[in-house]
Amino acid sequence: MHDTKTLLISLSVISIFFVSAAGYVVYDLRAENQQASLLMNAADASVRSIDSAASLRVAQDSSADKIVELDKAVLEEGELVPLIERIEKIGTTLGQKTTIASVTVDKAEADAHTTDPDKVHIIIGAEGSWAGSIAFLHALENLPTKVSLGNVSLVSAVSTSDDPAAPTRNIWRLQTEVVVYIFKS
Amino acid sequence: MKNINIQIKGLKLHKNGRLFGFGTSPKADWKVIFIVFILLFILLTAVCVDLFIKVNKGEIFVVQRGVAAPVPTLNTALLDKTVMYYEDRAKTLEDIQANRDATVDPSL
Repeated sequence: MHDTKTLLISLSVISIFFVSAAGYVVYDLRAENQQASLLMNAADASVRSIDSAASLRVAQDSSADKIVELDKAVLEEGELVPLIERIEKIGTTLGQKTTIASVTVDKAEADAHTTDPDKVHIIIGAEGSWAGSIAFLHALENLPTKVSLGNVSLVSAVSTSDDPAAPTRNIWRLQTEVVVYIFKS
Repeated sequence: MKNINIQIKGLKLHKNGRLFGFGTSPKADWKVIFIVFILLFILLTAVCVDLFIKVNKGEIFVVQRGVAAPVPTLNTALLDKTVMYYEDRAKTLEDIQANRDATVDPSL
């Protein structure tokens, strides 16, 4: 009877040991399997990323000429002065006496998204015939870049000349605010 | 405490007033020990086989794939549309400079 009891206790201890060992193996297996699963997910993501980069490169190559055209329509830092000169030239072509009253740069917030453009407010004044003023306004609307017009005023006036013998003529004074967007290069 | 003699399909759970007759004779003790260990062994084997099958199939201890980051793509249709829009504007600008509209001055 005593021997049986000792044997039973021993077997119980051995059983507990083996069950604990089995539990540890399952725990270890779980950790290893999760690690393997994570690595497989990372490998999948990496393959997807390489594939998408390759397809993006192909699309970029096939649309290279369009991208160049789009770049021309996007104003970058350093292209503001040439744009203002172009506006003045357009005004002259349309028979307008053009003046740039003010240029104000409205910087994008520093903490804003990096692609947010700076807004440049250009107050333009022009003087000339009605047809020229309207054409100039249409021309400003159709500048081949992102632009918006606001605060447009057209006032009729009579031109005065230093020469009293010169005939007076009716002119129009145009004033408008042109907002252009300067993107960071 | 009153001993209840339970009988399931001819199997007597109590023998000589003890569960499975444990402690009544060495033969009965060994019999009980053997059966308990065989049951334990079968249970552990079943658990291990189940675990193996699930791990092998990848149904257990698998980390779910997170939400994939949006893949950057080039929207060529939008690109074409945008380029065409600015090309049209440039053409309109040239037309305006070349052919000024002869709109009637409203002040006259």
